[in-house]
Amino acid sequence: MTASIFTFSGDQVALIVRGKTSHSHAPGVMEQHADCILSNGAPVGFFGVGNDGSSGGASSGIGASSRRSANSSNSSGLGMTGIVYDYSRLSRARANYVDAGIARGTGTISTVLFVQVSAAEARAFDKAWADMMADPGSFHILGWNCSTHASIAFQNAGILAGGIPGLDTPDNLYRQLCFEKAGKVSVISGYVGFSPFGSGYMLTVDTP
Amino acid sequence: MSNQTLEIKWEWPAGRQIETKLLADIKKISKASKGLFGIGASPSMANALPDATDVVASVVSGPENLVGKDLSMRIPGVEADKLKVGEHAAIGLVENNTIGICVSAAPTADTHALKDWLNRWNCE
Repeated sequence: MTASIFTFSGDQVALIVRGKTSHSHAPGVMEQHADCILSNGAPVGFFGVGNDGSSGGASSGIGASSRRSANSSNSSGLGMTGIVYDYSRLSRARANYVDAGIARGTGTISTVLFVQVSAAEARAFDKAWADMMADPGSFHILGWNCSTHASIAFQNAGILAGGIPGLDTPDNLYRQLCFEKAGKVSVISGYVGFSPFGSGYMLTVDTP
Repeated sequence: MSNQTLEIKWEWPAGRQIETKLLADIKKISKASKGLFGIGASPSMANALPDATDVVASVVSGPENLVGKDLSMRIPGVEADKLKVGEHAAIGLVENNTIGICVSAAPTADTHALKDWLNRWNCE
């Protein structure tokens, strides 16, 4: 087992594809999830909660012009309420995403794609997530999901010029970033953990 | 005494201390349904858990108002693997007994020894 440690100083952000075991692995659509790492190393991600479509209305803020409302009652991953989890929330609800030991124990392998960014891009990326945290809106498993919201953050920061090619999946966003940001990305896969460090967080990746 | 089933949500401790300890008799352990097209098990669902497993148990010791009640918890498979149907387990609760943050299999079936063990048990 080898542990790699990464610190963040405002010049890189990252996409984490949960369930993606290596750069070349293509996880199943229902076996992957996208989180991001802010420029201070803080993990953050968008999730869907509930299935009654009763509380996830359209709202203002980031992406407001295209934000869709949760207006249907169903149990098929549509019309759910969106919620943004930060380190604290992930520690309680998804500890296997922020604790490398629990990740190993549960077999939760992730692939982290680091993207070099300018200071302005980093600030805009962080702000995009802060805005989504304050006003997460709705969640739809198809087309308005974790990867859609990660994509919005990359677009609002000017890191990506457009949306995800094809289906909005974490792996498609990963491949888009690899293509469009070639030369500015690096990758590591393994069991991922975070710990407070300075004014942000330190990332640990244990290789299987 | 009510037979109403307590629905307990699972979360990891994240530094929290147990507020309530229960000793429970494990009645059923089964893999959780993944729902339509597996959407319920998608890791993008806030309530999804790794290898989600449903556990039904009967409270045999703990706060008086809970003793005799059944409880159901959906927990990660790695936690469920510690438990066996027909045996006892300790369950630690927080947030007004709505959230379970740890489970442990009891090391003995002896009634007196179980009581002592539960008193000493601290989510380990």
